[in-house]
Amino acid sequence: MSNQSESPNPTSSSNKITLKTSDNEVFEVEEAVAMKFCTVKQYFDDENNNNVTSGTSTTLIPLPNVESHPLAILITYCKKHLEIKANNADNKKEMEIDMEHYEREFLKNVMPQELTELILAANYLNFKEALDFFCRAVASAIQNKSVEYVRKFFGLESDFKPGEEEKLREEFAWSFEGVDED
Amino acid sequence: MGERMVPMMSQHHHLSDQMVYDILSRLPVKSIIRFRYVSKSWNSIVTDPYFKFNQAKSLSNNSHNGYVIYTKYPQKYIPCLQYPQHEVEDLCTVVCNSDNTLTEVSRIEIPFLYESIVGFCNGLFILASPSPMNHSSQYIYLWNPIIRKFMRVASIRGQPSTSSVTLGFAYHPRKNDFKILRLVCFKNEGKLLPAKAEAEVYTLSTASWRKFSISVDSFSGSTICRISESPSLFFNGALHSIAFSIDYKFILSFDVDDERFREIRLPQNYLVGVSLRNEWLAILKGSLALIVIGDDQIDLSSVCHIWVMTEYGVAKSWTKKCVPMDKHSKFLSCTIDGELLIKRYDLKVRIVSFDPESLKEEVLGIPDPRDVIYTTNFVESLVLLDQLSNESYSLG
Repeated sequence: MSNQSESPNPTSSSNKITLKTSDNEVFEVEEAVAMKFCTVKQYFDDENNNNVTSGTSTTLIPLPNVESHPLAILITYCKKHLEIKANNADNKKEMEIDMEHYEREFLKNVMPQELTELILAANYLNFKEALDFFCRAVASAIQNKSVEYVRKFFGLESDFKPGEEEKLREEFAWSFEGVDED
Repeated sequence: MGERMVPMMSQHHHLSDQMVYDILSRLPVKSIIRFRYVSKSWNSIVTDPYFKFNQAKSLSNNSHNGYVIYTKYPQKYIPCLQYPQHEVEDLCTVVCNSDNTLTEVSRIEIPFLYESIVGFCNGLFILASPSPMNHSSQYIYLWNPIIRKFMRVASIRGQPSTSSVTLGFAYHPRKNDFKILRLVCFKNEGKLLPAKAEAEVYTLSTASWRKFSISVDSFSGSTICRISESPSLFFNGALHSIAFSIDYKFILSFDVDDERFREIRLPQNYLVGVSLRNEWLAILKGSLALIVIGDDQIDLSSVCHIWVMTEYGVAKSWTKKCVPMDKHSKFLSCTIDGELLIKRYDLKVRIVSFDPESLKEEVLGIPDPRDVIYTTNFVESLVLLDQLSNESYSLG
């Protein structure tokens, strides 16, 4: 992993980057925050290579696959992530404890169904830490749930032929024991 | 600035297989098995060989002192019967808490008859029993209790006159594979001819045995005539056993990756002054160790010598610690904290944990233990998912 040299301090006079979502909302974010989104960083680096002479400090980056709602949440998460990292630069254990605490609080304000939306956004933006966190959160939300609950959760339908699923279920009947009520 | 677009996602509102994979890989095995039935694509993600082999995860608990896995003698066990009723035994796994109390993790019925539990490695158990058809052959069971699957492997049929048979079980990380090592020494019936030692290696991914004679790189002894029958110790990518040639004793190591045998020297003259009762190889705080239990030849007290090879493979690095030990003791394993787990045969069979630093010992709450093994990390895995529940393979 590369050394994080960007300053997470919001009062610093670093460049702002403007992100435009699919529903035409515009977000102005610190460069340090935007650079955690690898997709944005890639775009930004390509632009800079193409326009070496342009002295603009504000860049507009269109994100046609991300809506404003998940992006706002991801920006908040990212800011906090950088802040915790900066506060515990020399203590990895403390950082993990702070991060865990923040993530627990974070999940109290998020509906489980919102998590899929966040996973899609984090995946598209290629924001690895957030993707890992949301995948863990979804896993613990569905861990003890029924197959039917999981289908509803992800908006999926069974595509097994009639009888096929029952036959499979019979072989692994034990894995259906002790499942939570939906 | 040009309105260059960032590339589009293929499907807008559905998670890709990769994302489903990322979520599933964070679940316990039981949930993964259940969610195969969500849809055909989820089923194919779970049954993909790449997913299965990456799905070996530890039960998260950081402050424990390893896991003891044991069976008990059945309640109606009558000691004069040579073979107790195996059918009624459950395999019980407990986590050892730091204060030497135990917490049960699982209790599962063993779905076949067996004689001994050889070991546990990366989610798979290996058990053995003599073949009912042919006594020179063995049945070896690989069993994944989490997904309730097992397979039976018949060993290669050997000559009837074996002097020792040693089993070892190892995980091969470079190939994500498992290997069973079976070392067989034959009796010297023709008197003047040297005894013969052979190795048989079973590879799980190819479901096949290979047989070859044991040749040790730059070996300083003569032909191997016997190998200790305790299960080989898997450590540092190799299986280790104590082996004997006519006048020489050493540690025979089998590298799981390059499949070559090497010699590791035992401490020099380590039995001077001790009448040996038994000895075992172990891993003590990350080093190869030799545990010797015997009687001091001068004061006749029962002692335990703990030899630690601080630098792996370097014979000069053996260091000794001497502690008192009850004579009716069978060494099982060293715990993460460096205690010795001992099976003690008093009026009752008990499992005790002995701290060689403080010399304190504590009886663990396992009454009437039969088979007892220890593992630092109890992992779940999907290995053997394709097996029918009673499928067997044989080659002989």
